[in-house]
Amino acid sequence: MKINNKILNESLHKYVFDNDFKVYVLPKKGYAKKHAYFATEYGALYNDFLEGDTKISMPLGIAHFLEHKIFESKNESVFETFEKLGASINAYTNYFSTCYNFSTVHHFHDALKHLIKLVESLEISQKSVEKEKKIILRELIMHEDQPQWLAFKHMLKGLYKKHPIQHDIGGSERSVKAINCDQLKKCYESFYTPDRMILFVIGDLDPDQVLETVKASLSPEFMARPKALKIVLPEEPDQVVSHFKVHKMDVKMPIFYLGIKDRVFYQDPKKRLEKAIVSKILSELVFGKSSDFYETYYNQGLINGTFLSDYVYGRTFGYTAISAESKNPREIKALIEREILRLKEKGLSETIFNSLKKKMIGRHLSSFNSTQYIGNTFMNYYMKGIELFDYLETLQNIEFDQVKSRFLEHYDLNYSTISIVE
Amino acid sequence: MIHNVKSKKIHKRLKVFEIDTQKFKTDLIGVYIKRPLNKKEAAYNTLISRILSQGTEKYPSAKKLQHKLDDSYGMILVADVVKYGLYHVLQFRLQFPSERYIKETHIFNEALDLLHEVIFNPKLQDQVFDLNIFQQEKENLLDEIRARENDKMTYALDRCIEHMYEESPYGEYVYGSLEVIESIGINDLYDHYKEILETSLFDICLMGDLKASYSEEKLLSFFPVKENDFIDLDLDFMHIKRRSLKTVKEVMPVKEGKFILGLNTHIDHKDPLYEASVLSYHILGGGPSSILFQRLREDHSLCYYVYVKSDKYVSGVFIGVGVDEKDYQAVKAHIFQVLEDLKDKKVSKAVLEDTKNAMIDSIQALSDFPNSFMNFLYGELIDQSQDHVLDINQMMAAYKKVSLEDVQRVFNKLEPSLIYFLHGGQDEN
Repeated sequence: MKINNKILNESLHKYVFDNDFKVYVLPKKGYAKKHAYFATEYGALYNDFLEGDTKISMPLGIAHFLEHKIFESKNESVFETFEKLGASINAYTNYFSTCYNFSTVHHFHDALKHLIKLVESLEISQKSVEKEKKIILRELIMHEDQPQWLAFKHMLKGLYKKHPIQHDIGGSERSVKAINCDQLKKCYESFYTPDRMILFVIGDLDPDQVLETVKASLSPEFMARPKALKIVLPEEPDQVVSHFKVHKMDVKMPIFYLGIKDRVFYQDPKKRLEKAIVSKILSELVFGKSSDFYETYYNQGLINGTFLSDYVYGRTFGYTAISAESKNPREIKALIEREILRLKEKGLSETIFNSLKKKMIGRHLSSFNSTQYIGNTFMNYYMKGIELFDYLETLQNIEFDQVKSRFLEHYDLNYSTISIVE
Repeated sequence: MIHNVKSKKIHKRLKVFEIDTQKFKTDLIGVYIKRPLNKKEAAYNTLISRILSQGTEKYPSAKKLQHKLDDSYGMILVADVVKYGLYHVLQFRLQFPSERYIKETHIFNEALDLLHEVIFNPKLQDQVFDLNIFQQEKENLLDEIRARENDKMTYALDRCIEHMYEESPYGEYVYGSLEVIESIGINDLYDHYKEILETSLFDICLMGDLKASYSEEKLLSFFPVKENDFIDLDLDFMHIKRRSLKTVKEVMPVKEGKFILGLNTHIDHKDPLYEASVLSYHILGGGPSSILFQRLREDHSLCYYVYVKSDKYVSGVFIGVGVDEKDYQAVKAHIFQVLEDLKDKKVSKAVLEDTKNAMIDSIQALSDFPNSFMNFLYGELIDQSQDHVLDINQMMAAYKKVSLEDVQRVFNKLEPSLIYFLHGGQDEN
């Protein structure tokens, strides 16, 4: 199936196999680099699942650990295999997915075969699992020195009581140490399954040829795997865990993250996308660089260029985050509250709304300059149930009234927390 | 691939580069203003770049300027300073969707006008910069420099460079020092701004669908750079280097130590061994199959990351590793052993060929990224003669010619100069 987008002047080719495995190709004429992303919808959130009626719980960070172990190959270093083809291989685990990707200028089809082969099998031993623990623990510790990251992490802990979004993607020292070889195999078998996996390809390529390579490379064993097990997520209350948290650290300038918890969720992915875009526009409208708030407190020296506001979401969670370095983060919280009340009385600016909408349209267009960015964006949307071209259409149809009612619905600091690192 | 880079010298202080392509959804305009790097310039230029993006005559506040950018389909304005060896360069770049994708047909002109406003028409008060903007930006810059310790990985590398080049202007932090910034007065700063406009070389890069071409007159009306003399920037790149190995340890409350080894390479980007040096650093620590990654991470689980970065203008290379501080001696010993072994032991032909191919591919892929391509182009031309032309095919050919002996020659030229170790003070190794 070919999906065209006239405004972007791009086409997306989509193939769905009988077992629900999906392949997408976006041809990009004139680009030197070609990328392939092979991903499973299995990330750091999905530690609990059902096998029949039995609930299985895995240690935190196991999806990320598994990503590390996929690279452990059979005879030669995976990195060398790809490097010989002039390709560079990489992988990441986020809350929703684990993705293996490479980019290359030449030998795309050979590299694609290797990527498929790499991900569709797992060969590990307890000894190699133990060795990997040391490297993963170093990775976890590296973040501990980043005040920004700590402030963010504590904000999530303040917002969520049960939802696993509060935990680090890599898990904790304790959970990583607890992971064993059998658990990794179990997770691999349960979620590296065709129905939960997709392949996205972008570059100056012929879609039919890509599909041929994919068909020739996928092993019968992989294609015959049963459907993934059912994931369970805990019920999350609307209330936050705490309103305020301070973490002491040697920083020159305090850092804060203020989070407002979302309490409204939709089953329909398009409704979810619409809500997300409205919330993003809203966060800029109220606190962005063209807002009264930003101008007033920047000029007073209370905030600086690091001040950011954004809305982040998944299928089962969402929050608006406002963050910055600030000399007086406690005062900022009160000012944010006052600004919300002021705007609830005074109303939001439609002029600024219109320019922000234009800005988001322009930025989305611009993002199609970068094949890598498109790849990452594609995956990010897909894992939330959204297809790449849905975004622009939804954005263009957003009305000011939606933003106004979302403001009243979402901006309530009774459902917020502030985390400060000072 | 982008091959058609045209350049035009309008007069002795103003040069234009055209990169005509329909490959992207956006157009990009870059203005590069070249200054010498020293204590004063670093601080003054940085503060000026910040002030200029806070308000102009037509858009007299940051809010109004931002609104204009948003309303022009999310134009992205970047105003910053960058160190290129002993040059300190003010950069202004503006990216915006191409006319082909939006209904706005005058966006290219609007972009030129906006850059004109930002660079040549700052908001003034009593014939100098606006006092509030000046005070706020000065304060913010001081805070930003104080806060740079928050990013330990970058901070450690910066500190290594500062110590390694303490006798040279290159050791200057790109945004200047606290004491110089604190001492800046508004009149001095405005004088410096005037001097920048009067005495610097301006390079303007235009990238995108340029068929609706502009005339020289039009460009001069947006960038009224007078045909004056410019300050002589024919700098001597052979500057003072530390020749004997020194170790600097700094204690901060960190959980992970940052180990950086700075080395003199004695090979700058005009050296016949330059291409061999780039390949050698890649082989040493450029990726997951590099020698250091394999040895430190895969064989000994001593780190999560290791990198090798080089500066082609000052002949320096930096090896950085995040380590548990108890492993300091082990990491140091491994790195020195690897460097020693590479003096006598040749790397394999296959490894060199793979690295060459990777490098040639990445040169080809440069033109997939408008901003990086423009910065790359400028970086290649910065200290070349005014008539120098960038020839990408020639560049790729130079990489193809590198031999195993060249690589070994590079490894024999490396001279450890400074070890910088940022650690938590738990271990007194």
